[in-house]
Amino acid sequence: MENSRLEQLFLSVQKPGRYSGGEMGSVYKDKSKVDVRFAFCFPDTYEIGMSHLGMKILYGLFNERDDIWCERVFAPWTDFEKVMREENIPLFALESRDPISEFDFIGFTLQYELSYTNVLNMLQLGGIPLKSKDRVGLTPLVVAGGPCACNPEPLADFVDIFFLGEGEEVDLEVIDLYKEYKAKGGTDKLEFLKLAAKIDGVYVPALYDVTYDAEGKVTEYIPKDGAPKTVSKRVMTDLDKAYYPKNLPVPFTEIVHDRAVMEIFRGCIRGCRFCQAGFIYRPVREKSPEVINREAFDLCQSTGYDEMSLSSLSTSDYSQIEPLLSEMIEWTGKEKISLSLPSLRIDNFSPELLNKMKLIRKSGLTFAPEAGTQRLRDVINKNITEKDIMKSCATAFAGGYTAVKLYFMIGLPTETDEDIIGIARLGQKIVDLYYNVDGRPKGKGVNVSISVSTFVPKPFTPFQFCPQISEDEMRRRQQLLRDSITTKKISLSWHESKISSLEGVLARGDRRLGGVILKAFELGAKMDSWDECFDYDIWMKAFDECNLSPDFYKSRERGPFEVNPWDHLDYGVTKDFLLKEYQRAKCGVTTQNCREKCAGCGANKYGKGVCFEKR
Amino acid sequence: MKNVRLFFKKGGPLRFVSHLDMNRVMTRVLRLSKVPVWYTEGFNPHPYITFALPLSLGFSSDYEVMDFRLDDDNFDMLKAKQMIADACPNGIEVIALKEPKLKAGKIAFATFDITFLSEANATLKTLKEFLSAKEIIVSKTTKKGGVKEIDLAKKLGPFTLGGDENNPKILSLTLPAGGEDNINPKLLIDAYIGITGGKRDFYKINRTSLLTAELNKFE
Repeated sequence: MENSRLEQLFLSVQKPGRYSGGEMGSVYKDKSKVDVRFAFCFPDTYEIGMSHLGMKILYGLFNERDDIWCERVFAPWTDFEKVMREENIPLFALESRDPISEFDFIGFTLQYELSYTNVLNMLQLGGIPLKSKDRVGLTPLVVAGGPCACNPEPLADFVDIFFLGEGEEVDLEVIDLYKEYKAKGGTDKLEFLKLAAKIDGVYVPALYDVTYDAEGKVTEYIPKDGAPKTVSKRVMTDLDKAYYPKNLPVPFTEIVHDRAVMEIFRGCIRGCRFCQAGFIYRPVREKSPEVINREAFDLCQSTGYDEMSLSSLSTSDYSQIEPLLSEMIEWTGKEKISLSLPSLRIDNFSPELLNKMKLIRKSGLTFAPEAGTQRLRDVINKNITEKDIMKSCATAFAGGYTAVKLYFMIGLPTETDEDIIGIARLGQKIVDLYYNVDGRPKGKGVNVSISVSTFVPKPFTPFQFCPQISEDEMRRRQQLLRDSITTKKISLSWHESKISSLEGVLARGDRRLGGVILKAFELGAKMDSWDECFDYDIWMKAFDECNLSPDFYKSRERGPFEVNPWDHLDYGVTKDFLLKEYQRAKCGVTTQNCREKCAGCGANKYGKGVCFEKR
Repeated sequence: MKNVRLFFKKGGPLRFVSHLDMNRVMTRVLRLSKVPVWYTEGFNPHPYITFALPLSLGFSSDYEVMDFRLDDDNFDMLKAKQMIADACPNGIEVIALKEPKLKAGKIAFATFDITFLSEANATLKTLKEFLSAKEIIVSKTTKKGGVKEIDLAKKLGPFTLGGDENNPKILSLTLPAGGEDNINPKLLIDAYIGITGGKRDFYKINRTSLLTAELNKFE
């Protein structure tokens, strides 16, 4: 469609800036002068996708090369999707506005399971056959990466290549292989996929046959055509030398996280047993303070952002946090940049730094105890005690804070009603504490907000073996919690239990779920992570029609010898280690963090990071 | 500290950027330009930016007016203009940087060029008839959320029509603008499209100028 008409159609929907492109820092190239065109697709709205750091890193990395043009693609919101279907506008990339079917690679980042139907919707809007086997030509190749690629099986029917682990190197290796293959006159997709499967970190699902037993449990993954028996994730071993963007596309319109983001380390030392990120990104690898400061400064200079935040799984665990912040506060102050530090504990800082910290605009005061009792916190290996929380809250209240936010999960393994009531009790203790703190704000009340999500067992965590509680039980526990809260000073919010339930099924699903996802999509499922779009009945109907039961995937204990659909993928942590951690969890025994003592997870095989620090 | 006024054109991708978002875009432009801008002295320093008259989402403009403050009274204005121009994204074209002559409240009229795409079913004949009617009654939602009927024939200044019968037509018109009385040309054009039976949204609006009550250019 000609541009002027397309642009008028943007104006017929909400937030047209989502579709127009042209932001500062976005990259435009002459398509006749590049060899490879890569459509980087985020299967959710612009505002969410543009807040994602990984996309910005890969966008910058690819576009640094003259022979590649990487463009961005987002899922249209339902209003514009309707217009696109009515007017026959194929899904296009923001920069060139060319249909994604013209690209060599269509790459999806899989950040959460509930975006899977959006992947299908985007392919369909692009006029691209959904199933890998129905795309007979060499291009477009549909590839995918991101955390959900650690169990890619539910999308195995649709995706040609999965990239496991960190993408900076493996993505380019596959792109180079493609260039080489095309230069030699190659046109055969299967032949190319077989070649690609030889690259470390590349998983080609079509090259594996899966067998099941009578119950439907996986019995074996059988590699074909020379594909490796296990595929290992890729890890960037030296983050100081890894690519970091010097410039970013800066949105004109407001997005979820609209600021410069500086990554300070990958991985997490803690090993909280429910947390997938804490295991799949092992080992912890840090950037040096010098590199962080330099890259952060450059980023602010080139983007014009007046706000910057540090990104990691647990900012306060950065080993050189004091020298880093000391320097950073210095230059951000001069440049009038406000620095935000998510999840920071301030108890072990020097008085000088503490003083400087006062210059930093504080976001809210947030804690994530995750569980209501110490017993259950020990089970999940969450190393935060009630004493810690009380101490920090007392300091904060004395310093003028009147609101605290607490995050919890319900449905954790071994959870009892006592643990649920413990959540309310902890909230009440904080309320009581407020009225006993000297120097608290005069004449003001306190607000403790408690946000409760439902625990979802994830692959590559010690809880990958355990059942997820039923929806009825979730609701009962939510009600119990509501009834346990007796003060209006505590506000309670929780997640839709049905969404968590579906997330649990997709997270640990096998290849057969591809049929369910396709069916649900055909019945109208999309934007499943949005409460206003999510329709559970559609999904239940899809399971029915495919003769599969959600409970098979989420509600049963998985034995130590059961073959999981992700067991042929290697993310560094061994299954033996996960089993050992699961046993310790059941006994309520905590495990020390990586800096205190190596727990022997297996991630030291990458030869770098926290595993080799002096203890 | 001195007040300065930036005049610029807004188009291209910036057409899809709302008034509120424009504020953030220009804050970043000023920061990138490295012009010595005066920052507020609070806990969260930011440049003090005001726009003379907000521009509706979807409109382009040949004459946008934005005020801010320079920290250094003696900073070369031509140099500052160039530095800002260099920092602007594609879609913003700086015209001038001057000291303000009038207060923003002096704006009384705005002029617009409207271009119709073929889907709008606009013809010179029907346009002329529509605009020459004694009454053009449309309903407008008020700030309080109510609906009131207004007669646009009384608000509409002189207009000209360009283009021939079969090509995209350009309508130039003048409407009240500013704090006293403000008429969005979309009200008028949507009423017209309602009559032609054409497709909504298939016309482009460009704000060409801002005028005082005496019909002088607002500067």
